Amino acid sequence: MAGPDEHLTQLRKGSLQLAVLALLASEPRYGFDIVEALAAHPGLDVNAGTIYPLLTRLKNAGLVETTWQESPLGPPRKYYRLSAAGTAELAAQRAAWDQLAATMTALLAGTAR
Amino acid sequence: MKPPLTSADAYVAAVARELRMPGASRRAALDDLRSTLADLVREGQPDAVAALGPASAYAAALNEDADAQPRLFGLPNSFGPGIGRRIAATFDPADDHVIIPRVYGGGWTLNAGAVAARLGLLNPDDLDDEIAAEAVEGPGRLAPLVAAVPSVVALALAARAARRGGVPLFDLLARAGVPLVSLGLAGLAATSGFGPRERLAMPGVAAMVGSAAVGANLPADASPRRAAPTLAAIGVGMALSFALKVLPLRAAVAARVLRG
Repeated sequence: MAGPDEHLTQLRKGSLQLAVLALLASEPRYGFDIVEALAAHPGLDVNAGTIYPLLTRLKNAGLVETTWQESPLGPPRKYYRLSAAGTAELAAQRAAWDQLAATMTALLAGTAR
Repeated sequence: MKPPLTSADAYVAAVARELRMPGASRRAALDDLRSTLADLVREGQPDAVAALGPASAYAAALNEDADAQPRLFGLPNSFGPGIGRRIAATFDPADDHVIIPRVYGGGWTLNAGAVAARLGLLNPDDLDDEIAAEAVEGPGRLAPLVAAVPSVVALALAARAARRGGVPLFDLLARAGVPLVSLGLAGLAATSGFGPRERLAMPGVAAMVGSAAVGANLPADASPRRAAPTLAAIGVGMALSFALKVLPLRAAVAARVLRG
């Protein structure tokens, strides 16, 4: 039987992309900023090695657009913002999430804790 | 006469086209898929193919399992298909592993991207297809030419050894064969046959292999003094390989910052 951490990892796997798209809906962010913003949410604190390849995939898929800006320390930072396709993807994934969450909540409500 | 092609056959063929596994594991995966489809039909599933979802997704799931590195006596071994992917892996700042399986053959190599990110020369998320294309077409245009230099030197050394004579033919073929491969790799980096991330990493790999070939073509024996030039050639190769991967990307990023 998997432990609570393993359950969280499995559930998070499918929702991480939605979480990143949601973070970018409000403002453009750079990579490490996204890692830290996710870490501030309990259950979404994944390591940077998971987030950076995900950001690259989102970029290659055209869901985010990027600009580079000088950084006060270190090399220039890449800022991510949602593209039009990314905004549409966020809406579609949010609808799917809402539907699944409602279904699961109703299903679990019928079981004993 | 062959039986008519069913949609199950077409599905298996579509998965096979996108499957990256080699040899026996590939045959086993495709056999599993055929028997799964047959089971679904036996169980009365009206459309067995639809039940499995898109062929590309099915192949992707199998590829994900297969991407676990094959090992032989504990050593990672990389002889199968997917050489472009393994070349790109030698320059992947988003992967925080510094030591990764070799591009070809058994053992390990360095991920220059992880090293550059740890040294603060790049951010882990700097490299994507778009900036890689800009780096390859812009500041990295000269990289294949520079990368070819060690291979040409190694070939010249092999030619000199051949002229002098006394070197067994098999030895000469090995001395010339390796730099010919690295020269070919540097040439491929200048063509558009591969993706931008492969092309960005290729000159560095070619320079490393070419420099190692220079080292192997230099006179050396067991004494440390005679081995020094060989070790120096390998050291130069490592530095050149690192620079040929990192500098074009850094220059492309700098150009982007300037453009705003």
